[in-house]
Amino acid sequence: MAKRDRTENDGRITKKRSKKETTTTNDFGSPSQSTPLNKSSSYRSMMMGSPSNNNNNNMPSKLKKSIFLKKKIDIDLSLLPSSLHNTDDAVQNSLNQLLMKYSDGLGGIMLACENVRIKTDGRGEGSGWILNELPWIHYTVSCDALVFRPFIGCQVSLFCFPKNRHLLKVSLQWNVSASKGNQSSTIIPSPPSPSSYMVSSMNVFLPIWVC
Amino acid sequence: MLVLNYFNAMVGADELRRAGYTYDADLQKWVAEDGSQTIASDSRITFDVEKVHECDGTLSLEGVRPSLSLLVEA
Repeated sequence: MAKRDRTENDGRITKKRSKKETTTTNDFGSPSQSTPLNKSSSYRSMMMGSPSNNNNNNMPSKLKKSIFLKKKIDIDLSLLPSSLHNTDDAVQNSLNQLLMKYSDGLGGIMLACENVRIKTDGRGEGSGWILNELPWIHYTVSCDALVFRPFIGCQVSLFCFPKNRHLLKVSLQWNVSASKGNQSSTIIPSPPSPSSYMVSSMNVFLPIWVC
Repeated sequence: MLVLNYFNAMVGADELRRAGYTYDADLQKWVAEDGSQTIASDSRITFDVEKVHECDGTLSLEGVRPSLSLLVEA
């Protein structure tokens, strides 16, 4: 269905042409490359993981199943023409909006991603698709994602109301709002740059483990 | 309580009592029956995940069988 739409509308544009466009904002679109595009779905449910690198599928024992999973994922991102003056940044910003939020497609929370690249066509050019005369340009993006995926029965460790000094340590990378009382501290991450999220994710990786 | 210094988690008071801890209101700590272990602010404990809650992309965990963690922070 999706393929037919693409050919009927002949909506394929190249990344090079897109750079001539000038406008604003970006949004998410469609599911993974292998699934049909479905514009009525919510954006969070549109992110799908590629099963090829899902190592936990072959885990025979619960003990070997980790709450962390690094997997290669393909995501279809829909960008508005406004973001096409810098497609790479727009893609990165779109991925940043997926960080630290639960995703049904991943079955967990994406803590970090790396090796982000727009999938290319046979000629090595990144390409987008315009469907049904709608303004969004759909790109298929692949990346390596670190997913936090707790499950019932897993064993985790945590801090009991970390003291403020711990929160201040985090504030080197994140914006932190912490009250003076130990029991009412909150962390509110701002939309960070991709690099700061990568560093933060690595820092917070340490205090947790699975038996 | 926080997992990964970010995600909310909770272990109910009943679970802590079941694990042998009692709350000392003066010290504001959970103290083991033999007094050898305490759970207070900045303690690190281990628990089994019983429920996973998700709301608007925010995750929180509910745990049972708490115990003091022997992990040493790297």
